[in-house]
Amino acid sequence: MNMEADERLLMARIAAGDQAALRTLITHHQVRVFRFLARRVRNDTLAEDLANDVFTEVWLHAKSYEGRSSVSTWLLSIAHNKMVSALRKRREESWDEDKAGEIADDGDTPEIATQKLDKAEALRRCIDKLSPQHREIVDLVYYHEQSISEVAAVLSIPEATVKTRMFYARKHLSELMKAAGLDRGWP
Amino acid sequence: MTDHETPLSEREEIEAMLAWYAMGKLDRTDRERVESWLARDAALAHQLAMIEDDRLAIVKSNEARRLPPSLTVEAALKKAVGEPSAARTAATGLLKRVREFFSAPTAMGVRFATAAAAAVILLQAAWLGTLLTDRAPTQYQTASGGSSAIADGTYALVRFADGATAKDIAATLQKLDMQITDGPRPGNIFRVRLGAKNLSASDRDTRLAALRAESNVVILATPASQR
Repeated sequence: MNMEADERLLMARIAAGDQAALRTLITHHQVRVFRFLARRVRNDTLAEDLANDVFTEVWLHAKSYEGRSSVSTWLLSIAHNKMVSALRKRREESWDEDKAGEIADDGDTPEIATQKLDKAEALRRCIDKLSPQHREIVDLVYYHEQSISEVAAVLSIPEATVKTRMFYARKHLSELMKAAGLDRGWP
Repeated sequence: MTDHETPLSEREEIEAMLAWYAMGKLDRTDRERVESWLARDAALAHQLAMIEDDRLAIVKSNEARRLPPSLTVEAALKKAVGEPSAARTAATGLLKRVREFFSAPTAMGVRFATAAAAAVILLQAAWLGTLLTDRAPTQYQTASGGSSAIADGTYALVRFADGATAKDIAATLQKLDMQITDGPRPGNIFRVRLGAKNLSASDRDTRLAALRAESNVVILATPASQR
């Protein structure tokens, strides 16, 4: 049985109220869902709460999974929506998503931060300096291995916007690397 | 799209798609477009190497994140199942409403009319059951319907489309010479006999493909264990 069919059966079992199936789903996806959220909200406690909320949503609404996307895409989509709601609520409470990222950083400029680091570490530092939207899309593509259509489904944006956002995310990353003294010859 | 992100030129679109190209995530049309550009643009080929560096850095960055000790399967499960499932809530709610209805101080005429409507629904359900067993006695049998004639075989797990009628399902299975031997299981999954025991893998796959081709009726067909 292929993975896609396995996942559909798993979702069918969850929809029928099978807690063992939910446990299997959580075991397979919890860490990735948490990492997706944590990279965006930069607050482990909030990311953990939201990740748990994702699986609660799955338990309550498994029947709404129509199998039009993979289960991982569906979970990331739920996670994204919960994250957006949580961040909106926090912004209303004078919390700013970008500020959250800044607070989590160590305060070094890219130049200072990369002086003592190798290229790979410098690259990771620059990735962390990307805007939340750009960090999110490179995570979805490179770490979560989502296709263009899957990213569009997760973020609820058109595929053309997915490409545009990815282009500018990559471009901005190279600019940050250049500013850190690592010119990669593009852009 | 943020304010400064203007629409892409064709070359920029190709640059954007390089990430998915490198990961084998493009459809054939886009893959051929990218390859056509790569063949005539050395700068794009240089970007492919850059993309691999980026990907590795992002994977490492994600995996380097320490997981909080409180992030456990048990905690997530406990939180999730602490909430009553929608299906169970609906069922419980229905029973509760029925009980409330008969205990509520409403006019007898209204109660009688509603009870009559409920009876009609039950009759419809019974008729559907008759449709299954009378019109297609061998093509559509659940486990409770008796399937002793089918002692063994090669099986698939099948989920039928929500909109498929019993008549559609029976006709499809009759056409393909297949029979339901068990179900529905949780998730409305049925066990369907594809043919004789120990069908070759290619015969089994051919029959599965035939089932999947009936996409108006079948939304999932996957091999099941022998028994």
